[in-house]
Amino acid sequence: MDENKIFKKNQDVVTRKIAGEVILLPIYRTSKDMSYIYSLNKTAAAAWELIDGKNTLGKIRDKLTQAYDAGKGKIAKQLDELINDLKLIKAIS
Amino acid sequence: MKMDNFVTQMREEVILDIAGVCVKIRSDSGIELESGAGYSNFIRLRCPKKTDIDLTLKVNNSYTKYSSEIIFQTEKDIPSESIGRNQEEKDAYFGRGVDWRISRAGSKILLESAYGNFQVFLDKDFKKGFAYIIKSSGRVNVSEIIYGFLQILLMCYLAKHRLGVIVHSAAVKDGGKGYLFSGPSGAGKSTTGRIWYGHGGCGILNDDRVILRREGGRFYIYSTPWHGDFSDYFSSYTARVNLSSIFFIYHRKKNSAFKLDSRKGFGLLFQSAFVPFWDRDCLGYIAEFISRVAFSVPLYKFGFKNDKNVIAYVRDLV
Repeated sequence: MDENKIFKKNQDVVTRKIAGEVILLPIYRTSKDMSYIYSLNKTAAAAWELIDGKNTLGKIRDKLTQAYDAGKGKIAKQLDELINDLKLIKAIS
Repeated sequence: MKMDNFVTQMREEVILDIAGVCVKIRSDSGIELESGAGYSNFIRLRCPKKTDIDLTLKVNNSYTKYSSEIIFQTEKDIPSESIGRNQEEKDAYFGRGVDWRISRAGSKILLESAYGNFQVFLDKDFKKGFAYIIKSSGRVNVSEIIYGFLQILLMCYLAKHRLGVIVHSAAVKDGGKGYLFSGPSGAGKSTTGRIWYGHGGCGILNDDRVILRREGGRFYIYSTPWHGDFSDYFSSYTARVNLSSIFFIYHRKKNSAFKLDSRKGFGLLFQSAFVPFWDRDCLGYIAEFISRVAFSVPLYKFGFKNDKNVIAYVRDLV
């Protein structure tokens, strides 16, 4: 994980909170692009909140480690996986 | 007020009431209506309250290219410069396989179709519009509007004004209860309509597309003119029913249903909704609306056998 890397949310993704989960709804321009809506669990939702174009990944990792009382290494690994998933669905850049 | 037994007419103005949305359509060259058509249930002499959508029609004999920015389209991108009416020329104008698209044309929204042959200019709130029907003769049949672009227009109008959503579902009224039977094509919606049709005390709202709305704190299912493979039920019209349960259906050798968690149900119901995916506000509104529905009524995953025993099974379940 590149600790200094900063990501921002893609404006073509709509976010809504449904029953404690954050749902990501991509905006589509053509029907051939239409695929899924995405659901983030509590931890992923907390990370999503922190992706604001200002926080580095290192800062996000540290804040989550504090908030969830989990090992730094474990949080870093999960954050890495989440970032990869969000990049794949073009929710962040 | 419902029209009774009229023959084919030509009128300068047609009024439709679909799920409480009143659409007024005017044309100087006249609009044809056919007697006995399923859409007759939705024709009114006047708007019950006020006109919600006001459309003026004209007939054009060819597509006109307008300077516009495509917001959303089904299938392909960038059309060529050719204009015409036969399939090859339509493919050339829209691009092969394009069904319809929405564009920004100045201060208007432009809704166009290669398949249904129309170009409709709409105000951004979808309340007023000017529709060009592309055809060689001067007469327009109201079915060309209803089954052409009206569903897309109504989808946008409902979302824009936060009035509800069109869903890909069959719907049944059983006594005072309303059941939604939702699923993709081939899941059994029309089959469900056929099974329940004519069964004592039951009414079919539609076998393919219904509208969900929230009124007075309750959710209602409304009938629409957009039927699937089965439409006999239009002869005994059921306008609306209170939503009691939702079934996500599929064919099975034996009836089997289990209750779904509302979060999972939200995902399935959202998939069945007709959503303006290109509009941020509308997309967010639909998600919120669907979540309210999913958390308000029992949801079931339902594998059903194609016979009348399914009726007793559902009644025992709910």
